[in-house]
Amino acid sequence: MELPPLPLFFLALLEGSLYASFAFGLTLIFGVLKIINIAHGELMCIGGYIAYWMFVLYGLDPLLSIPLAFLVVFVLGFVVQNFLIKYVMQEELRTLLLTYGISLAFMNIMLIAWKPDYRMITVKYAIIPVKIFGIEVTLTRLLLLFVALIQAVLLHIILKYTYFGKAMRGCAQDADAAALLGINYERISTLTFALGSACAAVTGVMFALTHYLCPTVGEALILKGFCVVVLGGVGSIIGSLIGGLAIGICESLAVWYIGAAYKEAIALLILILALIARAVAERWKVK
Amino acid sequence: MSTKLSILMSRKKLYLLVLVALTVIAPYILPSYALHIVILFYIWATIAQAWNLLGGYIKEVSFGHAAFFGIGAYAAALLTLKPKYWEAGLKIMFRGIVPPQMFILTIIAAGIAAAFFALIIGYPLLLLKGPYFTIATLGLTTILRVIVLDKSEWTYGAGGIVLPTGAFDVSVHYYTSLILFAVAMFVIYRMVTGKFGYASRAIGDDEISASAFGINVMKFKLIALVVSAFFTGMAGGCWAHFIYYIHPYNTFVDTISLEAVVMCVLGGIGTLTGPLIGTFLLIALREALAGFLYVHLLILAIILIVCCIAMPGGVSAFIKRKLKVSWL
Repeated sequence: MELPPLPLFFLALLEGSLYASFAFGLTLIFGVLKIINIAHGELMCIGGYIAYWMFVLYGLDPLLSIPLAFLVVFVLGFVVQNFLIKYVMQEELRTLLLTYGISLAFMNIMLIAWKPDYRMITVKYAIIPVKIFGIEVTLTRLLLLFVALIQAVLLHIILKYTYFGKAMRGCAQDADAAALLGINYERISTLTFALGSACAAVTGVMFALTHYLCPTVGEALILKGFCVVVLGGVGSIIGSLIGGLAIGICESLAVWYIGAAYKEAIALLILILALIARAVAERWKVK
Repeated sequence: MSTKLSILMSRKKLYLLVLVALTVIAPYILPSYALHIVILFYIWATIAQAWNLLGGYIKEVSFGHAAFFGIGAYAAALLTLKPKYWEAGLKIMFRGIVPPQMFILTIIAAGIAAAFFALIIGYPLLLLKGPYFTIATLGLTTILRVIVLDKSEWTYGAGGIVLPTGAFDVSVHYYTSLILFAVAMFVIYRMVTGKFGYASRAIGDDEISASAFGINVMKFKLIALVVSAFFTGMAGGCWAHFIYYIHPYNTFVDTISLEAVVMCVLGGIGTLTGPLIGTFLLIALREALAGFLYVHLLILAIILIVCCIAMPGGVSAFIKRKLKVSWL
């Protein structure tokens, strides 16, 4: 068997940083609210479209529209949590179906409004090659890695050193105990959902810059996002970073050894195996 | 009082008899478009009822029933196209004559294939609980689709399969799907009114206390999954023969899993009539909105959201509460 070339690993890392960046918001929401947000991919898409339209209509650089996308989707996430999800949060089945419904609604609204065309943000610097350790990559892909790292550091600082972050971690550990200590669980959970959605929007902008944009793209990413969350550990930012990079590398290795057709399936296979391994480990602990 | 009751009973029986007679003679009185929709109703009601067994009673939400559906469709199609695998056995059984009605056997084989797949993946998958189970099932469909697309020497890949059984008269498909629907309803009715029903409701309410009462949780979950997969696979095979063109993007797609879920949630999970009402409403909606691309799915999504927040018991609970119809 032939060993894969070195550039493959490097490109896999860049691809993995996308998954990691996508999973940050997901892991926060899963950790604090204990809900699976299937609409996360669509919130990402909306962020991407905001950057796209700002670029096409006003010529604004996508990197500069990151704060705008962040703010808009923050408000959107706030509205979704405060007016829809809040009412069904006690019941798992209903939350799951509700987020699926929200995801479907957003996706089809985008499909009606912007058609299922593939769109790209073609900035001037998109094709500039950068040489690192003798490997040529495009500048935008490298930016993706940087944005993911910056996101991770900022979220880590928020979680570790601010009141809001500490309250979030408290709620993630034990919501009732946190409420007893005077933390407003409802407010924290709403803000967490909004923050998680906004993180997805940042990913969306970078995704539109490096890949392509169409309303159904969130559907493909969401399962990989869950995969990263499960691998990295729920609620852990550093875990998500490592998990995302690992998934990226696994996918690239699968493409190298098995064939490109299986790229879509390999992350899901890892996801199912990881979940089952977790369940088996838990059974062992109980016994 | 007793005579009144007996008249009522006999009237109910009469209605039932008329209903059965109507379903039997329907191919001779209904126009072909209406017949088409009724066949789809039977197939989808079977799938919804099967999903309800796992999702409604045991409350393990599966978003992966399209996997069983697709396996059923592909098993039926491949057995019809490549009869050399099983025709030898048939020829011995029927002394050299293979009547064309034998395509029904492929539907049964489709159910068995799906049930077998469920049995293999069932145990490890059912170790997962709640949201983790749902996420894992969400991945199944995609994995199978990728495999079917790649192994084109067995499955004809992305080109799909055209079935010769599409040339049959619509009434053949009508009676096939009617029998499937009737059998599924009967089996599931017997299951949920018997021991399985009590056990599964107990598991759905509280798994730990159910196991404390001596219910073998894993066994009942596995039974539910396998029976559910069996009927979904049969419905998939029936659907493949009826539509007569299948490819990976009309069988192994998440939309099919989703529609089964929406039908049950809309009608009311955990009841026998709920999935039927949901299927009827959804199919009517789909036909009414067929001309509007994406709007159909958007309305589906809005119904799902509204049902989740405002009508936790679905339409059947709503009717029961408002109109005081006790038998729903």
